[in-house]
Amino acid sequence: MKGTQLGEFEELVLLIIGVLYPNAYGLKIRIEIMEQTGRKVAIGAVHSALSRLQDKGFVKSQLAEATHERGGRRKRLFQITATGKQAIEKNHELRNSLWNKIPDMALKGLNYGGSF
Amino acid sequence: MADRSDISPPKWADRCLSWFCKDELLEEVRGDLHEFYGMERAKKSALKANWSYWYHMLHFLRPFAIKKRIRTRQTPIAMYRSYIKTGFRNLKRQQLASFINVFGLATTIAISLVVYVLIDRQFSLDDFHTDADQIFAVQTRIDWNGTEETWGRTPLLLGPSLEAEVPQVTEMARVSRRSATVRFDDNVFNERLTYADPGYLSIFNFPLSQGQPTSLESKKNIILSLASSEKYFPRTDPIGKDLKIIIDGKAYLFTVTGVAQKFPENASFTFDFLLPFENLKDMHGLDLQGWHDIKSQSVFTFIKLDQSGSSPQVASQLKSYSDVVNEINTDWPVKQFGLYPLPSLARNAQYVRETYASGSTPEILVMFAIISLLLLASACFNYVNISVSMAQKRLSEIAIRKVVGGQRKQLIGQFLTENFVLCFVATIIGALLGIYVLLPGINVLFSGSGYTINIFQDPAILGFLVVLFIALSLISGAYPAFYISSFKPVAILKGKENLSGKNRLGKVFLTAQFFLTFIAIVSGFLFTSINEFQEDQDWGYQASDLLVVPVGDHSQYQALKQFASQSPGIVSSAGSGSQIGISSGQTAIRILDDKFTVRSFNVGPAYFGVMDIDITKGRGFEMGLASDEVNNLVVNQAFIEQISNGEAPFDQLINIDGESYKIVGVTENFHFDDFFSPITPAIFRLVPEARFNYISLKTVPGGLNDTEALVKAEWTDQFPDSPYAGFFQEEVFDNFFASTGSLKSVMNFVAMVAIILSAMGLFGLVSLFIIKKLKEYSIRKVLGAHGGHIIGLVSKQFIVLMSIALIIAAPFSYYGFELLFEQMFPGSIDTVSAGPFLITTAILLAVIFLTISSHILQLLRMNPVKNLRLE
Repeated sequence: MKGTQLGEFEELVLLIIGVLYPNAYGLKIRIEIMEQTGRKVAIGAVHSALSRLQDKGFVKSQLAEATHERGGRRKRLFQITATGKQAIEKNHELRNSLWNKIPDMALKGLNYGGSF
Repeated sequence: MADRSDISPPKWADRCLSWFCKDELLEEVRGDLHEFYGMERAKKSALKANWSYWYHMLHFLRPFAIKKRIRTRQTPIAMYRSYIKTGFRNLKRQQLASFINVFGLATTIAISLVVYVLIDRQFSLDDFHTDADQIFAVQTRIDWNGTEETWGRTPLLLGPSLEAEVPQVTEMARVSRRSATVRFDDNVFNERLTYADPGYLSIFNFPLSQGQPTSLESKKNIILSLASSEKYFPRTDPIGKDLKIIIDGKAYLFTVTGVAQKFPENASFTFDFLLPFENLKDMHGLDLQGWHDIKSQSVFTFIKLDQSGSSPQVASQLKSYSDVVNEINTDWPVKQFGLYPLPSLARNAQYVRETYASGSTPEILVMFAIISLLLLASACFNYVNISVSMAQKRLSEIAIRKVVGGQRKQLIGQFLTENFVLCFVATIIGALLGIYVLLPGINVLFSGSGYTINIFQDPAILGFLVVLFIALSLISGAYPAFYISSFKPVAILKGKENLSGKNRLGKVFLTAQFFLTFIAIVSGFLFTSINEFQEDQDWGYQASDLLVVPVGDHSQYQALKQFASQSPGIVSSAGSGSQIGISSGQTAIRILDDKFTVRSFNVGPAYFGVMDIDITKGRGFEMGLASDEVNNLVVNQAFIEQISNGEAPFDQLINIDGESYKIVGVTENFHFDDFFSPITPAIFRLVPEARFNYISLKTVPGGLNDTEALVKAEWTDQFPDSPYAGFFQEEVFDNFFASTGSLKSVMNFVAMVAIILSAMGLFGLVSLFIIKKLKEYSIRKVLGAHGGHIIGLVSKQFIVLMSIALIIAAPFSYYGFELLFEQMFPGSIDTVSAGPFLITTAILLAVIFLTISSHILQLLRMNPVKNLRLE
């Protein structure tokens, strides 16, 4: 069976789907990712991540009505499922708890752009 | 967002996407891409938007998006046995077609095999040395009068310094090659000696059959190659024997302590006599202790590193050494010392001045590779054509197979299997042809190449044949297999199915073939005329009736001069330090502040007269050394044209090695290297008799052989210690003639193969054509058309095809060959004339008519009623 771990990029896509609700579809997700993170992402990479997320059951999708733009082709709109929500929450909590466990000493004196 | 539905993305990209993308994803993916394209077009140019559309489209080539194809077994294994059987039966039934196919493929396979072997040998040169990737030659990038050149030699002290100071250098060997006379009892020959550090035998893999490599550490020991051991000590044990080496009249004794095993075929450098390096000091006067400039004292340096990866580190440490050398010599500063990996040394030999490894020019090999690929393509085309035309006879078999349940894939499998059978036979015949006919032929043409193949010892060659076999089977078999299997059985059985009328592909192929054949024939003619042109060329001096004898020292020169003045067969004689066509020097000269490199010849005063070199302006060295001629120069016409802008600068001072010279005469241009290279500026300097290395003897016309016999007898009588090495001046360019001659033969052979192949292709296409129009011709015959009329009808369209090929090929080959010859033989332009093109056209026309008429004769002899009655 495929693991139900959430990869870093998948998590990003999943979050963006949430942000864009209810209008999250491939190209828009890509544009949002590029705007938010400054990364260069191929459209295919986004679609690939979406297909993996759907396989894992983190998102569900349906085809929207056809519009005049995009050559008359329909969009596939994505929404986060309950399992998807659980997965991001789990990641979020894990991060928070780990962050809180870092002793102050470890980060003391580390400034952006500074040196030892 | 603006409405951009009117802008559509590149069609091909879209088609490509729908070809590989899963159907269920296609809708949304296309939509996204389309929308994306619209956004891109709003910002960028159409070209950029198209590019990025393609880029993103190709990014969908990921497992999640690609269609899954369901595979099932179509053909049971047992069926292949039946296919192979039918395959062989078909070979037998259609003997002529099979012969054309097998012969064409086999010939081209043989050619490719030989070309492969040639290329393989070129690329495996010197790879038998252990850890060849860790062995590097140190070579010098030098600023030679303004142009940067790579020189093979380095200062003497560089090697030892590197070994001592750079930790990554594990071993080092310096090498220098010198010529000397070697004598044992009555065997006296001029030989090339290799002086090397003891590291030579441990860096390079030249195992000894007798003796120890370490014996090279002792100064008076010598190691022989197998060949020189057999030359001096036939049937005796050489170990412990004393060889006498004579240099400038002084003899040195060396004890033989080892004999090397036979050298591998792919060694680009070997040795005949291996001597300890330190002998260079006593025997050749080299200073082994100090730094000198590269020009005066230098040797080849090889180093072995601890691992191949440390070469960049070592290379960066080499920089400091160039400063040391540049302090001594500021005239030709060393840019840097570089590491050159051993395996590519021979391949790059032509770009390096004086390199240790020797290799031939890769351009010719590239040309051969292209030729053999084109011939292969040609043979494949013939195969396609002929098998499609022969399938006409098998239409009913195809129909029956389909009717009883054979699927199209099975038919494709069947035809491919048959094709494998045929290609297998062709590959075996081709391999035999290559090994036993072509390769020995190549060895004869290019003397000294001595290539051998042992298929079973060389897995690479076996692999090459297997790959060739599979590739050929698939390429030549795919089209017929798919095409023939697409016929509809009902139509065939009803008699309606015929081979598709136009056969455009065949015509395109045939045109391409005519095109290639045209070029091949033209090249055959052009190489022949180049060869003739070179043999007819004016050498710039009289080489006939001229016997040249190399002399080792002054006494030998004087003795021969004495002899020449007394013998009636010798008209005149002249001594010289250099000899045109054999040896010359490179000298740097300085005029005001400009530096030039010119070819230099050291001659005696009588040299111009004996060689019959015309002095066009000024005078030669008439007065001899007694006057102040020492600082006079005679230059060639090229010098005047290229350095002094067309005028003879008789009062211009020319500086050579710190001394001032002036020009007193100008000679005609003459060829000193070969006819391939243009004539470069050259100077003559007067040298004293003591520095003469050659004596040129002008004999009475036709008296060359008699005179030589006399001179030789005199020589052996007077100088038993030195070998007689006289030669005829006429023969100095023989090697160059031989190499263009071989090229000519190869090109003529290629042209012949190309003619045969295109005739075969034509034959196949014509028979296809005639089969299709059999009824038409039969009706015409019944109605009274005569043979000539029908020949005209059939030939018409093939002539059209040939004309198309001709119109493309003629200018193409004209300019192509002019370019090629300018590169290969810069001295001989203007050899590309209209003649070869006309003759080639005539040959092609003749081939077309002969091929077509052989078919038509058959057609004319047939009873037309038979063909018409079939309905």
